[in-house]
Amino acid sequence: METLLHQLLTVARNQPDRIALRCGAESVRYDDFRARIFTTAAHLRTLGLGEGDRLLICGGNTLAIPVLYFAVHALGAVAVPVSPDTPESVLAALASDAEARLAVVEKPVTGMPCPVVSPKTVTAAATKDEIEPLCRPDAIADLLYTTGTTGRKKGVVLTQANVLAAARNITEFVGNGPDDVEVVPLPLSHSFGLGRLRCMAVAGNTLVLEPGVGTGATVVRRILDTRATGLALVPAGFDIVRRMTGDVLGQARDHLRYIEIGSAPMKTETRQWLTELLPQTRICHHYGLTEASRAAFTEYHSDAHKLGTVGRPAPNVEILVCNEKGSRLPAGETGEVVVRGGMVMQEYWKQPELTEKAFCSEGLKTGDIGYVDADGYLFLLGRRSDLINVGGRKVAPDEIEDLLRQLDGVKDVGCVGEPDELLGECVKAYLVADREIRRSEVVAFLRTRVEECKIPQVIERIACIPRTNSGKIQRQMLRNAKEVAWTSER
Amino acid sequence: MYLSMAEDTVIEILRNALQTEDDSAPSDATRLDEIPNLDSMARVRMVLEIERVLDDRLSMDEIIGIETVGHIRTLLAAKGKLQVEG
Repeated sequence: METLLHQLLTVARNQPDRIALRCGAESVRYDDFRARIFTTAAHLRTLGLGEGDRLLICGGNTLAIPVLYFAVHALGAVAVPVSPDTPESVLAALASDAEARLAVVEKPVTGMPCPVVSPKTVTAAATKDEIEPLCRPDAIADLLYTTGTTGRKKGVVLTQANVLAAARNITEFVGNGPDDVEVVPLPLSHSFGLGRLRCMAVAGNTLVLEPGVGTGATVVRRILDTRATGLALVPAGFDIVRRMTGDVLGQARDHLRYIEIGSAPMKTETRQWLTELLPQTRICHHYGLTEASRAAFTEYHSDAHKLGTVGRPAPNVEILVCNEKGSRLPAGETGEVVVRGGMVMQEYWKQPELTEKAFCSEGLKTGDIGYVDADGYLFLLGRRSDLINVGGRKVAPDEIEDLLRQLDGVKDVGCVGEPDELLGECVKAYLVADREIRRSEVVAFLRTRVEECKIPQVIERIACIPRTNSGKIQRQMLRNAKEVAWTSER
Repeated sequence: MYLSMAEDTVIEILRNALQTEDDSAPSDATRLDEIPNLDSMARVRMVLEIERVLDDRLSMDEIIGIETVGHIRTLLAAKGKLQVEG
């Protein structure tokens, strides 16, 4: 029987003294990591968590989060990782939707539909009990909430087999192994960061957890001080690192063996800077979805002749392009990108109609439009959804629009993505209002209701929101709405 | 040591970084990670604001050295942007 946890246990048995995790001044060896996982699992069981139950995990990048993640799997339960900047009301809604048995949350919260405990309380439990791992390949491992096109979060259901397949595919492409020391400033609550944790279980390397990208300076300092061989970062992170620290990252060129990049496209200029700065580093940029983790990879140096591609299918993954009827198209023809592989999700949690729409007979429909060239490289030409990609985090404009309509004086609103020097995109809100509305007012209104990345960085007051006859917002027209603009505040 | 003109400048830097009109002044001992909503992007905005006030780029080590509100004040004073009265 093979699962991520069993892989991790094998690593812990074979190299007990190796450092598994570092976070600030703390570090944990693999044998200790294993022990913490099982004592935490035993404690969670005393709190009522059992096989198939969902545990909502909401916390920043501390040592407690990886312990909790694998402890949940050890019980045959389901991990529901949630970003620590999730507002209380959203947290409660997610716990309710997931029908969580228990929630582990860093900060005090109210209104939760299930009991809440703190990560430290759970993982510091002084029990010596151990349990036999219950996870099976066909059991649900993770329920990952992702932003839906309408703003309603979708729960992506991944089995143990799915997450193991993803981790193996990624590790095979990136080429990391037990001797690697990898710096991860990505949130473990997000599919990309969580993927690096899963890969650790397969490769048996050391993960250095950082609380976030921050100003980029601390991340670069950590890479140099630990002589890191690996790094995982979103494109916006590299723009921040470059703006804040110049070329200092280049000092890592003799030890930084690989980088994994994902969640958003990289600016050509940043890509060029990075490849020149790190000529020997394997720079792997993935394309994928929470529903199909890392479907394709491009390596910047070896694929330099294929500018604009998102790469070729990851190992053990097949990428097809299909027409509207779901039939496969030949190389060079444009259609919807469809993915097949062991890492593809099972379903959307409690949303059978959405699940049915997500799949065609050939595989998972990504919603992206593109073509595969004669050499097997995938090129994307656009996406069907209106999601705004803010530094790798997806924002549904509908969610922000629904909230801003509640703001006093707002008659109508439409949101689109606005180019941003560091984040790639930020949210721009066009408001139809019967009074002047300051951006600070919008920020104050939204701050308690949504995550920071969803708060519009640009507000523009216009005469009307362009809509189709059926009432749908014409976002492309909105982007060109300058002729009806009155004021703009950034 | 007493720093004159410091309050407005440091508060303005933090206010712009946090995108708020809140004028409350955290103490010098306040750690940046204790300030609500000072996430990654707000920290970037904070550094850019400091650089705007200084009209100069900060080094990597200077950026890493800003751990508290007091560090911002000290940095501005060291660069001659705040008058220090002892």
